[in-house]
Amino acid sequence: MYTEQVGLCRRLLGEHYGPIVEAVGAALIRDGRLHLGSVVQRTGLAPGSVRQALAVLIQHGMATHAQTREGGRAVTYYSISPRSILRLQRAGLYLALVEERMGRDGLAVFRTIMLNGCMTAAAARSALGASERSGAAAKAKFGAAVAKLVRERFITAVAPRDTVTRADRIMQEEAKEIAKLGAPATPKDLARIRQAIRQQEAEESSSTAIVGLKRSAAAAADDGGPAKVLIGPDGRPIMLGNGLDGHGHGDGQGGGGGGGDAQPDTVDDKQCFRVYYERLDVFLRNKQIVNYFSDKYNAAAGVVLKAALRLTEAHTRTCRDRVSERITANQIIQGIPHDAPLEDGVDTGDIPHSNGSDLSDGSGARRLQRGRAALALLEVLRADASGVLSRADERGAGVFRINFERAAGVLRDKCVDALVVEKHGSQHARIVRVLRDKQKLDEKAVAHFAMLPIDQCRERLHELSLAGFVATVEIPRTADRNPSRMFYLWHVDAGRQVSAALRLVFQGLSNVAQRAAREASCRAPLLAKAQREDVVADPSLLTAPERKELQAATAARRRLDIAAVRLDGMLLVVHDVAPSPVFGT
Amino acid sequence: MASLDDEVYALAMSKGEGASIGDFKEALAQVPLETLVNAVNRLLQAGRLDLVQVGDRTLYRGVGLAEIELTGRMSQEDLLVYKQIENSGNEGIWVRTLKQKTNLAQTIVNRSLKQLETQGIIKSVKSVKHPTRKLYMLASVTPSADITGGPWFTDQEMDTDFIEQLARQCHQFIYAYSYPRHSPGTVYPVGHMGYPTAAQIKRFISDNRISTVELSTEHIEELLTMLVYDGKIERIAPALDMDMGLALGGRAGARTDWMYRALRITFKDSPFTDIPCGRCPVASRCSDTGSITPAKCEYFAKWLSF
Repeated sequence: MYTEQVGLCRRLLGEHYGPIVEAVGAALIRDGRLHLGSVVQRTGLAPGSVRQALAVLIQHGMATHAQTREGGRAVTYYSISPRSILRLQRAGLYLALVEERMGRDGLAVFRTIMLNGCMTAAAARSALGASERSGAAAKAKFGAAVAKLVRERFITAVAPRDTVTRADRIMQEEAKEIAKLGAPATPKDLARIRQAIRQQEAEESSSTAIVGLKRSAAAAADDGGPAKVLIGPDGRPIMLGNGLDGHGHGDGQGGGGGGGDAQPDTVDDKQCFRVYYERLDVFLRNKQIVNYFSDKYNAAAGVVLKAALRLTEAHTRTCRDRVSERITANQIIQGIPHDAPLEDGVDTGDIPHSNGSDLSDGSGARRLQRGRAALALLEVLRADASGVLSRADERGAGVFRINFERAAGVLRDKCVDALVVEKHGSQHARIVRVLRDKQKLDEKAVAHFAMLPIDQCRERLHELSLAGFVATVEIPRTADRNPSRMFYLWHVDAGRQVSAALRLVFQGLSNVAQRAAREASCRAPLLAKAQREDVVADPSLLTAPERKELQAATAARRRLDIAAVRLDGMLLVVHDVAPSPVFGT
Repeated sequence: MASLDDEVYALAMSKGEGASIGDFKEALAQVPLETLVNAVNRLLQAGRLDLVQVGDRTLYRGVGLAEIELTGRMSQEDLLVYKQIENSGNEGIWVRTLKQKTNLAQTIVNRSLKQLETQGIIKSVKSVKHPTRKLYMLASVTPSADITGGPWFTDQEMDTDFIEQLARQCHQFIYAYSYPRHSPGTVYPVGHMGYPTAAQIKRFISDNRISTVELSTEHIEELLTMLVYDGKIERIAPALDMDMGLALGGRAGARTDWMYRALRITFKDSPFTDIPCGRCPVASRCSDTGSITPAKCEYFAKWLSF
């Protein structure tokens, strides 16, 4: 873990939950797994405050606990996940995403659950004021919004075991199984038990079952089916009535309003829900993939890929998934919004470019034209050297798959290259790309491919090596491994490269956060005045220089926020989407 | 006897790389072997024939009159040095190698080299591979591309300005053909064969006299490879070749005429370009505490007030 990362986590905890949680979180980040007494000792806070701070962290899914028996007493240990803390700075992006997909009603529910960390639907309903007294319409609207959030897995059900540290949970399960044996476990038994636990974990993580939804009485009376709603192989919910829209392709604002009649499933009021951050990261990752191809080709190619990615979302649980399910060209074309400018995307030569007058000729011709353009764009994307979109089958217009692993690699390489260009220069980035492509080379070969003088090349290689973007490997010429008789080959070590990139990104984020804190503190009296009720009601209470200063403060804050969001996009790609094995936790 | 010598000499001169004893025996079958050998020895002594070792064969090469005149004036040591330099061809010979091959003392070799250089018979060149070594070759010989480094080197130094300039021209040319002119936002479909190839780019450079140096297709490909590694262009295999390449498993020797497409992606919009930390000269010394911190940073102040 980097110093900047620790500082950033502390800052985020302090900004969102206050100084006590910050101190407790910092102790857990610094010292790892601790019991209550150790945290109290390290922070110097009152045990009650520490206990409450830990409860806040557990409530928001950042800390986990595990109870172990030490002699005759049970001790509870607490651990914290820095990755979850870093997601706090993405809150704005998550909210924007939910508003885009779920509408304002969905956003209100999502924000309430996000603010509270983990809560039941009933608690969320009362927090939003959509109780029995506020009318059946408001209640139905709320129910539909929560159901849609659950069905599309923006929020997920939480079980008590989810707050237990994973490693401890596995050890407890293992101990339980061993106890069942009634005799000391042999190595064979242990291997079998561990395999079974691993398998169970894998099954649970890849399960498509949605917990927390139950059929409404009217719908359940039809067939008396089970209470759970499952996602079928085609990516649509099964065991629902006909005409139910489980995905809402591009429906934007339509998520909340009027959805109550078409979605008979209701949310279990007693079930606790939390924000499904891993899945939200998938949506953000997909946005970055779309942006990459939009930049590389054009907006139309981005639209086609976006439609393909939307189809894969139902089956993609986390950013760790390697490849998508198979999707047909027909499904992709049907998922493209009708107003997307497809015809201007590809120059097929024989397709006449449409304009407004062509629409009068009939929608069939236009649809055909759009379909052909979409197919041509799909082919362009398939032929891309990155191999992100591949053809899985030749049936019909083609069956495609999206390789998320390759997409993550492409995005990661783009980020690393951008960092190298920014920090060192374009010639350094060229050298990195040469080594990424050719793998292991001596400096003469690098200079040859990069077309640089050997002395300059050597200098740049050492600069990159110091920054951690390239590394050397020793090839001994003699058995004594004498350093003077070695070949030194340069290569790109993916783990080290990611680590170097992460350090820079964390440093950038930490710098921006520190500057934002400084900007806020040096104008604190003015900002406090501007937030006073009387000043909000009557802005003329601020003098002209104060208004000017306030404008400057707002502009600075906005600029720093934008920089932080953009840097966080890099962090998502390097840290969450394509994590290095060293930073896999 | 003199006529036999002339005949042998003419025969050796007629064979470019030299004639063997077998060749002489075959051509002059009526002459006894002993007489033939004596004639060859006389010619060797007179310096009209030169002994050349090619693999395991010994050949006799005829020496031209001008060369006879030239070498006739030389001392034995100078001649020995001259022969070694001549044999090195356009690759040149390093003085240490020369000393090893001639078995002469360093001072004698140096004296001979100085004398030959003063007479304008040999010249010294520097190799791009070993810039500290002085190589000697005949004054009339043009150094090989390995020594001069080819068109990318000027005075034994890589001409990066020339390379960058040429690369920019190539990129502009490729970009002009990468997207339809009537609609630059559009892309060509798969199978489009109008992307430029290295041969077309070479023709563009020579037709427009962009380079004064003669460039081969291989040189242009080197330049394009550099552009690929710059992330400015990408390589596209023609559809037919690509299929064949896959079918044949990329058979060696099957030359693919790659096409090149310019990329729109640039790194100008990197998040680090937004903030001053990207190019900050004191970024490595910046921390939470101390004299250089983001809170006190002047670059941040300038950026925020911009």
